[in-house]
Amino acid sequence: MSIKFKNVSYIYNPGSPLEAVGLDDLSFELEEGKFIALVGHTGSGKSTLMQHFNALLKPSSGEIEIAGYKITPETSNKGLKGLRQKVSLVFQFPEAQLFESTVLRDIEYGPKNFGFSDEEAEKVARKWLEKVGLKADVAEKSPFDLSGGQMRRVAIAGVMAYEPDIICLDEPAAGLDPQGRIEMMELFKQYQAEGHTVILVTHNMDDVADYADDVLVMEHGQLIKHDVPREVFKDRDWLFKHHLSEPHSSLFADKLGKAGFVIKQPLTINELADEIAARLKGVPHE
Amino acid sequence: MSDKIINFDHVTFSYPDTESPAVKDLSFSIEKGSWTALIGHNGSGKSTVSKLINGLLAPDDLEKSTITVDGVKLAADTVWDIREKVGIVFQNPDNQFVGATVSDDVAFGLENRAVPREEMVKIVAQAVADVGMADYAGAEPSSLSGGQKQRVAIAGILAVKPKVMILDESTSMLDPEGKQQILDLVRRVKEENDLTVISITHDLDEAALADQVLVMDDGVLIDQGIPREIFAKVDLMEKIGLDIPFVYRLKQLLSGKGIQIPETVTSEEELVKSLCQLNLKM
Repeated sequence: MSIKFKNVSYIYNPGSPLEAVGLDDLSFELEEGKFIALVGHTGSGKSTLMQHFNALLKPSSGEIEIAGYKITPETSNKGLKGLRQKVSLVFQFPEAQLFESTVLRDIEYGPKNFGFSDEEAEKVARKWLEKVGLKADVAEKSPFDLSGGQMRRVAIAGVMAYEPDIICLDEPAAGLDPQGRIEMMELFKQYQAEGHTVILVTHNMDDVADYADDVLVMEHGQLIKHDVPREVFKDRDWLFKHHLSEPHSSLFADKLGKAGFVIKQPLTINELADEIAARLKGVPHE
Repeated sequence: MSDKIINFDHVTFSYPDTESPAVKDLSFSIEKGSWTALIGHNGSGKSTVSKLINGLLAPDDLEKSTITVDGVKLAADTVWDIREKVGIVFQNPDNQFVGATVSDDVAFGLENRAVPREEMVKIVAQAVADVGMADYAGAEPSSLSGGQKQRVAIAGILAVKPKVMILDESTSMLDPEGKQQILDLVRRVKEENDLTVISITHDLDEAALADQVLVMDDGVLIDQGIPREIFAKVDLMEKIGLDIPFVYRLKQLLSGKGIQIPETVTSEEELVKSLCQLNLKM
């Protein structure tokens, strides 16, 4: 199965003086089970697009096929609960949405809402508490006594606990320390490896290079590129023109090239080190 | 001592109902007009330090711990004087708006200080212009981008003329362009207003701009120095869960492949040069 957008447009406040185009005639197809990155500037339409994945916003025109559902402008809100269990969105700073008296209850809230029994909900909550890297003894604490990074994990555990087929996360690692950020990214990579689709909204091109299989690039409500990371980062002039940054390794390789040491464009730091080593092979070293 | 704008002397602070202090016997000083980066993993005590600097939190025992800001010693009756001197730009731009328009928001601090209206209008217009938001003076804050919102937050701080500006992860929510614009802006207003800047950050590019780096781990100051010295300590950085700057990480990977780069190489430019020299020897 795949996620299909056919000529999807979204207009904010139609017919009013504040009318604005949110999405402009988007058509694309995403393969399920992949790790997909959604990039673009603030205001490019990323968040608007994200909210279409589970019909929080419905297209003004066009058609979306996702997780066995078909969404059109006429789709009624009734009967969308199943879609929202299969496709979940995690917005920026999800820790702001914690509200329960204990961590465990907060994580159980989502599963219970989708019909898990008390027993099942507790079981999955404890499982995901551990999976997101929290110690079992925080279960009975108030989520508000935790650090910001821990609260973020609780909030994400609350969504992963009912295991949506497709999870779309907006800058989930923003503001975490480097160790926390790596752990978080590995968690999503593992979630994908276990057979789910992960859609990551991010500004971090190193994360795109390190994790994504497929990249959507948005600008002014339009999809301006849809390709694998290597192709997206290949055309430096195009990236520059659209004010998009590049993975750090790719930038470094460019500096090397300008200084006369030309290597194949790397995406990750490991590729960069391999390329350099391959070129220097045979050089005697101290 | 006169050029030290902030001084911490044996400062210990514990949150209520916790077993160990969040900040333990902390002593450091910050020079007037300098830029200091405070780094450490989440929960290392960085934000607690920023709240101690402006008196949002008070040390456990004011007899044993001394905090001095711009010559004023923190005590129950001086805390308001100290807050006048310190402005904080927080992480989430959406959490720091109170006004209905950009100008209203910038005026908030002045209203609290009962500044006469004619004067207030002038100061607000100046502060809004200083951060490059004059065209948006009447705009609704919710219609602004994250970077623009942080500019307005900075204008609100400039309007009350503090001595110290603390950036508490202020750029972590912004896209790369927005981040760079804010850092350039802070650098400029720092010079123009003779401010002392303390930036609490995970972003090594931001920390690399600093005159000095303070490294916190579990409430203790474990190291301090110029960025170059600090980031060369790859093992220390790894041990406390911080990222290693790109150059050091690449050097480490290359070393694993038998390519040794001299220790003196600490910047990308130097590394490019060093690699080109090795390449020529082929």
